[in-house]
Amino acid sequence: MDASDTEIITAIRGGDSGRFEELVRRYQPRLFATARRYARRESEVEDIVQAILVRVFQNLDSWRGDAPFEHWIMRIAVRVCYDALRVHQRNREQPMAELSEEESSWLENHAASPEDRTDDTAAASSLVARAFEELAPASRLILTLLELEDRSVREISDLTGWSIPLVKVRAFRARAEMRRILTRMGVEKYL
Amino acid sequence: MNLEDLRQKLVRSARRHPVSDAVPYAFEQRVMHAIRNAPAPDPFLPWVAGLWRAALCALAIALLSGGFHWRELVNASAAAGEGVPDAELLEVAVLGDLPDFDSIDSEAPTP
Repeated sequence: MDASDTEIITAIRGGDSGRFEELVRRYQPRLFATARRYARRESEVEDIVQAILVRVFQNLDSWRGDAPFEHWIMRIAVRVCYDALRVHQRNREQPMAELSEEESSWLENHAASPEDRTDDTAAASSLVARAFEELAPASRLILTLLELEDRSVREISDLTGWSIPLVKVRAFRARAEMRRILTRMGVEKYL
Repeated sequence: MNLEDLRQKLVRSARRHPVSDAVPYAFEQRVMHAIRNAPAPDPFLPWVAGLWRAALCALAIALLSGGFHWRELVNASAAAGEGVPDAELLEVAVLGDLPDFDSIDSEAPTP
């Protein structure tokens, strides 16, 4: 049977730092999925996950065990991803590109019909990813957590350290910012 | 359909698109290597950040109080010596404590 998180952490605190590898193996898929929502390319994803895990190791003594370890590690993950987004904003690479054929086709097929369809989520995901690239870091973080990961305002407040009213205000501003970006992308002509 | 409806629809559709949780081969070894080679966090780092902030606050206070005293000095000198040029006031302020060279010359013993 696998050792619990608490047992592994107790062993690491006792000097057996090699056992951190078990925690890495346990949490890395979840961390990779999280980092992929914020990174621009795969090499960046690996750097972000590595930065998260190094920070987790260095701060392991501050985990008191009153909340599940998974929550604590996700809090660090969200903060490292937010730092990475702020670095991105300083080094923006390219201006907004034209809509691809798949994206235009998704908009043509879906914009006029009221019902949701489950097909062709890749084109929608690509459109959302391109719009998110243009968002300010705080807006991108909040919309990713609230709308893509479907988390509650309270959870987001716990993860980010922002107060609940601040989360709500930032969510409101982020939605307005995304609408402006979609307008700039030329989405309005499909309405 | 308005823009907000379309935005929500886009996000709902994107939410259904799975995000890969694939991990590169032997990634845990890379992490363990990075941890072994990572420099130990500096215990004085929080102190350094705090001291920097304190230094900036102190500088701001020094500038404000300097500005305030400068204004006071200018007002006082204007009241005390109306018509006296600033250069003369500065000379008085800087050289006020020096001995009077004329009197030193007159007190010097004659050969």
